[in-house]
Amino acid sequence: MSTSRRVDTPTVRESGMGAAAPTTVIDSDVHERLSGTDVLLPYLAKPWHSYVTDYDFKSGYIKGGFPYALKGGDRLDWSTKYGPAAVSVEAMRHHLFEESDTSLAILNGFFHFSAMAASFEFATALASAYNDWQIAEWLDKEPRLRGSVHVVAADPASAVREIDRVAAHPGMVQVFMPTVGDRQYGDPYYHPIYEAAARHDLVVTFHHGAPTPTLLGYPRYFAEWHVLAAPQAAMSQLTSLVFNGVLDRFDGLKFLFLECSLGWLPWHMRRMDENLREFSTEVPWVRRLPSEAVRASVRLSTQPMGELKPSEYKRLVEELETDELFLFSSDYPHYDADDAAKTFPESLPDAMREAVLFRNALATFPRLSGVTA
Amino acid sequence: MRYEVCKSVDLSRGEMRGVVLGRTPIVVLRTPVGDVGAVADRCPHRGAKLSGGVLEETVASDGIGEVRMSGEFHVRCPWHRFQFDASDGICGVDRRQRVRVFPATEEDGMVVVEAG
Repeated sequence: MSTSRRVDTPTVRESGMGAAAPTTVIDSDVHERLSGTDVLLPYLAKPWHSYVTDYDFKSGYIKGGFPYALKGGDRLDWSTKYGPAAVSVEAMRHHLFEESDTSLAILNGFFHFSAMAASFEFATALASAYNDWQIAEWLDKEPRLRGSVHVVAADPASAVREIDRVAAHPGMVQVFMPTVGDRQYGDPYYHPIYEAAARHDLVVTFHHGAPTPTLLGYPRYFAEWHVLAAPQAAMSQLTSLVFNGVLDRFDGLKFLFLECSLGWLPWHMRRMDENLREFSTEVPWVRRLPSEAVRASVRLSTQPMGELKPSEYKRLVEELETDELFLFSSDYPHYDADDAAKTFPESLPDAMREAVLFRNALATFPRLSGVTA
Repeated sequence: MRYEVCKSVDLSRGEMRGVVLGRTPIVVLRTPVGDVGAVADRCPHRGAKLSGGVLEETVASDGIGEVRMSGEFHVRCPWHRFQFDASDGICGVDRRQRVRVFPATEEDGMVVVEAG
């Protein structure tokens, strides 16, 4: 691993969308993908090799088995000139930086080590291997990429060691944890992870995955899971962070929820405010109204925006009384990936458009402070 | 306008009493440590009469998971349990939700409230 290598901070390039248009796009939700778990073997500590080579452990559906045969999959019209989307830096570079207007992309992978319900030492070794693979195969090859420190949240001590080790690479901008349904991230048990993230100027980022159930478990159809899993998990974990005092205790830290939809947020903030007023005796350590804490510390990525028209986005921002909460994301390489220019067209006010396309990301990630807008 | 609301001895520690001074509904109270106070008898949230609620000591915290009694008191609304500090009328961390507080004293054995 080459943690001492410097990643050149790119000047975010012109998008070519005209003088009046925003000039940059920062994509906060991009997935790189292993072509197979054996790709990690050169980075995986030797004692764990047989788990992959002999016992057939595979990345992907870590817990319980994702029950759906039909899934969304990747966008069908991304060229395969450089092989399958998301598997190589060449393909990603082509799709994001050449075929679209992306200036900077933040990786978070598909491999949710924190969702493993057992074998935590193996999970920790896998997370380390994955982080080293991500650095060697992605961050060190493409200066417009930024990375995630993958950890095993169930073992905070190991997670902190991994953050301390990998954060030395300047391309790392966030600690990644999946929005699982069986742990509450507001629990003080996880404070060491947040302390480590704050110490290294990293954001703490959450994203659902196949191991994320809905409140009904895995519904009968993928379409149901795809509607519910992400927002339900995000609402639950956000509520946990708020009422367990995490946002107050770590008030300089940003928490980013990816791909969990947006429309529920105003209702959710009001509902949390109401319940704090009603039950403040139960949680007297909560120092601010949840809506104030969310505005200060929490951000959401925008994709999927398929159901939200630009005019509806504008109304949503107006209802929240701030345009600082949302960060553009494509969700590359998925079938429902959003295109920046089409999702946030010039019909939106310039300031609102620039905020979501890149300014909010620059304000959220301390490690993007050197990026020139 | 100053009103003599009741005899001091008739307002017990921990008691709240709804009165109308002029045209203003007011809750007159005596905290468990003996101080008198007065707040408007209408919750700014949904309009409930606060005199139907309870007077309680406020729970405070010095850190996550830690609770202690604060030595300060609040009026808890009977409807949604919002709590309004008896001395400044503020609803917990929400400074926008606030009930009006009226000056209350004891003079010559009487509870006196300035209202109107």
